[in-house]
Amino acid sequence: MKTKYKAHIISHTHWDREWYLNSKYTTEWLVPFFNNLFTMLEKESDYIFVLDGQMSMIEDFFEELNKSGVSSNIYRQQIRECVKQKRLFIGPYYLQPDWQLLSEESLVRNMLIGNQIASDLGGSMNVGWMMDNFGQISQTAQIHKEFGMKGLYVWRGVEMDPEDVQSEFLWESPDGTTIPSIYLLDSYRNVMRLAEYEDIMEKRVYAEVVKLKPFTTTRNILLMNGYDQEMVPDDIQPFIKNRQMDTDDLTVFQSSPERFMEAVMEEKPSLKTLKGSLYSGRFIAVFPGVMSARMYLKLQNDDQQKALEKRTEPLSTLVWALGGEYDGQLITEAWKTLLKNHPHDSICGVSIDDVHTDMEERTRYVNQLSSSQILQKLKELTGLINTSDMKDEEVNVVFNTAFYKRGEVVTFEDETFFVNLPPMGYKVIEKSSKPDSDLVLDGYRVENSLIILSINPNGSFNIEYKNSGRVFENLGVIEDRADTGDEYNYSYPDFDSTITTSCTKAEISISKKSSIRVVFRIKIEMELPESDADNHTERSKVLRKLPIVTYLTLDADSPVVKCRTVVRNTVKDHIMRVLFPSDIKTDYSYAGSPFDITERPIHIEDYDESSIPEDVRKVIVGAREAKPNTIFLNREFVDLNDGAEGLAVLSKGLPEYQVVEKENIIALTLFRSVGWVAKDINSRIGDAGPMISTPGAQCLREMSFEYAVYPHEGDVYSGNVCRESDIFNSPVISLITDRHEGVLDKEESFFNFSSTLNSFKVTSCKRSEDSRSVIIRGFNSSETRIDVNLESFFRIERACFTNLLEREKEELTVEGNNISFEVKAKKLLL
Amino acid sequence: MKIDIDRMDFAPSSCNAEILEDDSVNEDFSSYKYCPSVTEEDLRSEKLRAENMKGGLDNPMTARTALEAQLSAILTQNRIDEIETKNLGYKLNEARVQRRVFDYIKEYEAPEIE
Repeated sequence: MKTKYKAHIISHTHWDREWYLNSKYTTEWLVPFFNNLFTMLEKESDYIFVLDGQMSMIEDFFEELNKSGVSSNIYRQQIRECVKQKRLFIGPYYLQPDWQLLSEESLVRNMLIGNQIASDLGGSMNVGWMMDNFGQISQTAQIHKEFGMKGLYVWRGVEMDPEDVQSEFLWESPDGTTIPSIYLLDSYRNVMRLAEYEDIMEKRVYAEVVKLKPFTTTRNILLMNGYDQEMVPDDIQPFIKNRQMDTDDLTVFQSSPERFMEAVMEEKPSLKTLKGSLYSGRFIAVFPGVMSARMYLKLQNDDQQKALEKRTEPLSTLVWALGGEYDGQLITEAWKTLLKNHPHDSICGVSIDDVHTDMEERTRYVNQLSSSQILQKLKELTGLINTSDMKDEEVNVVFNTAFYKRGEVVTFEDETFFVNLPPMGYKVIEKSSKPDSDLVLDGYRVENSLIILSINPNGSFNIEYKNSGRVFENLGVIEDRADTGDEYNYSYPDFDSTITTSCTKAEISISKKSSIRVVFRIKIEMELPESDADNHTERSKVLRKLPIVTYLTLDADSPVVKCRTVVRNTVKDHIMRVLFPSDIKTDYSYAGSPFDITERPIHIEDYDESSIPEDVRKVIVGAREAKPNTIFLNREFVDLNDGAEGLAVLSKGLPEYQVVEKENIIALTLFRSVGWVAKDINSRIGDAGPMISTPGAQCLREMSFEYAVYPHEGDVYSGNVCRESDIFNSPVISLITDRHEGVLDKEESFFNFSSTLNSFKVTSCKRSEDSRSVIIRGFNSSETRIDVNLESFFRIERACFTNLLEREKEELTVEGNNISFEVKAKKLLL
Repeated sequence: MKIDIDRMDFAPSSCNAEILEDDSVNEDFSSYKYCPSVTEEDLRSEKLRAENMKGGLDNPMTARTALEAQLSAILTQNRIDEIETKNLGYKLNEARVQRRVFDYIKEYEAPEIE
């Protein structure tokens, strides 16, 4: 007998906590929403509902009850019961994050905290639920597997051969981890509000099944019964219970994400494998413009992620290991506050102005928490250092919280010192060490042992990489174009005019000068159109001056030229980028992404719209990008190399780049100014969100951007690009203390990692969630297996690998205070 | 990686320590004026858009865009009000100071003012 098709209806709500309203309004809605949900669960004993994969909905609901003086206890109990009965599905995330724009640890904390809250309420759903985030990173499968997930639901970014689209696939991370994935090819709302239109409910279900049948790999068909902020669960049970909607070859029932996944995998389908990041806007938009909308938010977030990951937690861990306190509650409070800024509609900058004002407020609060902790922990650590025999009253100390030994130039009261710092440790500075060679300054030309930097009259600069003699010319030209897009997408007007600083006359001066550090100050004034004009079709003829000041720093022995560009953005409707012509012959770019380095082709063929068959067209219902994306994510660096040598641009919190094929120019976006959440634009088919005016997204403010240029030998791996970008993103901390007794020496390293290829990157150092151990997380960025050794200042009693829930997996051999282990290519070390 | 360490018992106590901020200089861009972020003309345009779409409020295909336009008009009005509040508040503060200082200087500077 032929097996029937099974239509699994999954009822859910997708909850955008803040988007076209800020959360103070939407969280109020949670009280009626949960009352409606509990009423439904009581009325229909078989009703099943999914709470959007995010625990903040429940936390916000409890908070609302608390505001009204209502106890949440009875609701907690009700939720716990329904979760245990597999009627209510909660977790695994704390909030629905954007997966591209966040640090590794932010993504981990989101799932870790989500899982902890879900565990208290009966347990987390065991599948990932990526309903609406704007593009997928390469390590998604590995991250979810390490959280114990059995599968994933995903929509945006997936692309398959239009002639061979399937609604299920295996998603493979670069380390080879695979996870079964359900592709929501006709969105998360294909059967929304069925019962409200009960007369046509049956027809809608059957029609949707017919539409989806050509793409399923098994006899299971997924019907998604929900939409954004659905306040009333759809009362579908009366129409489907007792198999009343079944036909000869179809059975219709309410299901769950776990059950659907199990049903698919039970049939052992032959699934195609999609590898790595998924970032195609061909079938559904991924909105690449979100990487540069409201750039100030990305910069603020980057600062606070680093404050927590690279300072607060490692310093607190050291203090705890030495015998002090670890303020776990305060750190969790800081994380949870920061995570509230991470949903896709928040960190992407695609909401109304009020939402983003709230976000800045949250970031300020996190800054207060992290700053006070950092200072406190530094005081406690410094208090243990014996400085009693120093000759001066004021004692200079430098902390290095990166896991690399490094040489740095530091300044104390206008005096510069060259210091060799131990990894994850500190050094009391008595006098400057000697670099390999001092800087040689001649006019606006300076050289160290590795680089010759010279400034051009237009403010751009040239770098000669001394090892190869290769000269990279005209770096740092600023390019400005119209942006008639919206918060989601950059778009071009019908008539654009590109303005660059190539022909400007820059004001150049030397801001700092010593034998170990030279800083050039370059001031440029651009005259830019005040806004767009003539109904967004061209740039205004009215011009306004926009000042740009860039500081270029070259330190002794440093392989990078550091750049800090400060602008006052005085005009609207434009995009500003800084250009780095590489002239390197290569077909690929390499960019950092969470837990990975992603390789992407530079030349990307246009879509052939006519190749999309009619049955596929019927199911791709949302907004789409008209052309293939050429704008991509870089987390902390982008590199072009030909295998023998390369040019990398390192950056702090500037996630968007493009490689311009002519001369293989790396274009790093500084910011975009736009005035609408969404509107009709040239570069997108269909709408993305509400047409609401957002003057705040014009970014009329002062902004400061930090990036660096790193010429190197070899490829992205042998050239240590990941390591240099991590060092650039982990500035040292200089502090002044007094003379005092202490138990620690004047220089100490607490944890020292050494690895073959230098490709091991630490992403977190913290106390474990059970408060008993030290957790260090990281990954092998390279494509080969590496051997890693960890040497600890502290006596190690025991060590083991864990998963991302910090549950123990494999015991490690400890020798003295050393642990040696191997990390496979692209593997997370947990 | 989970590491069980033998915690020490140094019981760190705080000492005097001051973190040195980075020594980057703040630029003085005060002579460069911003173009207006939102104008009365923007507000008029948004109000007009909202008004023109009111007819679509009962149509499920157009109600959403009609309401978006209304919300946009309100938020634009709020933004104008914020700017106005900021400007008025600044002026009010100055006026309060002037009023108070006049208690002391009126007899010298402007005895004719009531």
